[in-house]
Amino acid sequence: MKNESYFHSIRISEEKCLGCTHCMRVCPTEGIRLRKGKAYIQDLKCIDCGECLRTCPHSAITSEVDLCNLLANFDYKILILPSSFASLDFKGIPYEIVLKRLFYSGFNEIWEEGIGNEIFLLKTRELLRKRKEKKPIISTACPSIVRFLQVNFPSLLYFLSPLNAPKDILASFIREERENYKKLGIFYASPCPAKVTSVKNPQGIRKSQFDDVFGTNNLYNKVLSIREMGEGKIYLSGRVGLSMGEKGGEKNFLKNYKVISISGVQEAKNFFEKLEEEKIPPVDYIEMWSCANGCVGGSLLPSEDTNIASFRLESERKKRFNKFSKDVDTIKIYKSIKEEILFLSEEIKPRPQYFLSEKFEEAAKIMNETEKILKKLPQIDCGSCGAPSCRAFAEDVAKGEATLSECIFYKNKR
Amino acid sequence: MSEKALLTEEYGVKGRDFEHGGEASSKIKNVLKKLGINNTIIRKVSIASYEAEMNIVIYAESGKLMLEIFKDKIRVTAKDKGPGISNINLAMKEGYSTAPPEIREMGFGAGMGLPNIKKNSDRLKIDSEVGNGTTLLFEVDLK
Repeated sequence: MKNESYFHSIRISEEKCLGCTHCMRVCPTEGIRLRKGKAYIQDLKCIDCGECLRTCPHSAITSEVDLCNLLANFDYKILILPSSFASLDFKGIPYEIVLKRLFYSGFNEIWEEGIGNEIFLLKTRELLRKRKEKKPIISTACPSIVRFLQVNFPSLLYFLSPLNAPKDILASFIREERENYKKLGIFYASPCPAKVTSVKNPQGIRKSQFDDVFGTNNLYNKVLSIREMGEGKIYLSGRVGLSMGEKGGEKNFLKNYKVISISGVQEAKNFFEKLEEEKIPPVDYIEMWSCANGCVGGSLLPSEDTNIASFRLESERKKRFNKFSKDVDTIKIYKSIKEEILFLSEEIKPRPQYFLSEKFEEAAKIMNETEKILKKLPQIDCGSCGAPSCRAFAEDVAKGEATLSECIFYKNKR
Repeated sequence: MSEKALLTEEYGVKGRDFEHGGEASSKIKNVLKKLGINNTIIRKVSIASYEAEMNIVIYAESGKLMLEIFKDKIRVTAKDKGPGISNINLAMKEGYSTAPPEIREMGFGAGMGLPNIKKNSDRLKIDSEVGNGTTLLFEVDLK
């Protein structure tokens, strides 16, 4: 593998890791290995889906988020909340009070990402109306899905929507609107590692408009542990924007088009395999989330169950009587917003990580060798060797990255 | 033909097994991806292999796909024990099909299989013996 550095936000604590192999088995890009009894991530393969974090029984895996050390550096602070925030269990505290407690933490304005979702969806609908070819369009709303394409399905990047992600559209819009504000800081409460990474290492745009990002779980704990309230300006989204916090939000809005809605990284993988082989029915748009049920399943949410979270989000949505935001005119913004805010400005480049070698003949040799080695292995994918499957281990051995004696079955048989 | 393949893989295909039909060509696609072969070529090989595989599923008792990787080309050989093709020239025509109605109902047997293989490959050779089986071989060059 190439030794380029690539930033992702997943961190494994060597101290807490017991080498139990749970994470290694769920990684969709087979990007985790065990060396000397500890899990480590092959950086270039990481798509920040958070599957490892979710599955780790020892809380050894976290997402790198500094708890707002930067807040003090700004005079005017704007917080953007993901739609999935409204799905959290606030233990009976009304949403308005939750927001007031957040203001107490030092924010001057709170915007719901849903407003960005509304602009994103209106523009997506326009794209679908105009575009005759290059279909289906794959949504850019989930940054983990974008990264999954880069790493495992680069040929499908062709189908990726040209639109910037909703939270980035919103952040750029706010920055333009507030350009005269001195020391303006825009912050994002991320429901998942992928959105953390999309702030720190964005793809498709040169620079993120967010000054910092932190996990929604940190914010949640803060909200529940204080009673003080503050004041500030609130910009809520309507039903449309809020519905994108879960699977189906895009599909429901784009109901005049053929939209398929998929969630879960394994489901995404199966679907992309089929799309690559052109074995899917004709569709116009693909709504795709790496987490089960969409963002309500984000691994940086304190949620215990994504279906319950989904239910709570729906309850909150029913309280919104407006289709679009009533605090700003989303349709007017959509019509007047600059193209450079709406569209990605840079190419999203492939980052394929499945090659056995850069050189084709060398790769064929490694594959031959892999098949030979595989015949000596028990094919039970026990993971004791530190690779997610016997095949992955055989490949590692053929590439010279592991030795055959690391397989305990092979060792004992000899 | 004399040059030795860098890599050879074989995949069994069962006749009338629509549930698993297409798996062999998926595997071929994934091997080509791992070798780092360019996407256009992968696409051609995977479409042609799928057609060849489905021909076995639709018409034959059983068969296999063999993938051979050479320095300069990819070869796929589809070999089956099946009814054979009585008139290959006719079978190569777009729209010509001997598929029974139940197969056509599923969207297969539109007479596009062989023409599609031809369109997506650089060379195509078919040997068939009625009552015995068919061997179809196609190659895609790795320019």
